[in-house]
Amino acid sequence: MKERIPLQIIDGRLVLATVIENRSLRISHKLMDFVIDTGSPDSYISDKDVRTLQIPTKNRPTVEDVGFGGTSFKQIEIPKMTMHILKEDKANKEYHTLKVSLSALKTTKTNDKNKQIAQTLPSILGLDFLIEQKISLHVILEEKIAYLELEK
Amino acid sequence: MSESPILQMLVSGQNDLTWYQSNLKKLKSKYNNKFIAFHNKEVIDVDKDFERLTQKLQEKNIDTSNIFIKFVGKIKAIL
Repeated sequence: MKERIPLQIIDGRLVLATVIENRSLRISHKLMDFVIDTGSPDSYISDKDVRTLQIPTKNRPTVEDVGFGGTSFKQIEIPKMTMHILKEDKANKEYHTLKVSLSALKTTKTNDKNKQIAQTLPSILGLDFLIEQKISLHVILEEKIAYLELEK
Repeated sequence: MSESPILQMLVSGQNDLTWYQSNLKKLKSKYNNKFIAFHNKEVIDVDKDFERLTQKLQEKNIDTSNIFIKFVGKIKAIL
């Protein structure tokens, strides 16, 4: 049985509203949106969201330096997140819970202007998210239809 | 039956994003190049500087767990 997770099309991007949590990072429940980006192999929590969530990045291993949105970041390992996402059923509102691998992005820029540019970028779910969760992506932009589909 | 807190957050988040998309044109012309914090279909606070905006929200004791903070700009960033 397959289940649909609706996506919103915002400013030309596919956006998923989620609630995330992680006890070891002291995140109880936080509303967060992710852009679905099939052009990215990996999933990231943006510099802005890392700061909002107060994720401690000091003393955590850096995977590598990455370029994203025209600026450079350190990709930092963090524990898996619990992610809650709303199912499509309009009559009975229910949600689905996933364990998701994400990295934290921390800007390497120090001057204010470049820091601000880094903070404008969204958190993204890349191809690894679709593979790890065995999710397929369905989009018919002309009809404004976008959803994820996963096995129940 | 009352909804769980997670469900409430997800439904309100989805509604807020729908409101954001519907009002994006207006928001872009009013708050160009600024970070906006919004919840329940209204803008709570605005600042050009992200750190300052989060500080302002903390000072007002606003629960940031169920709000969105987004950068509103007329120039679209390419990811």
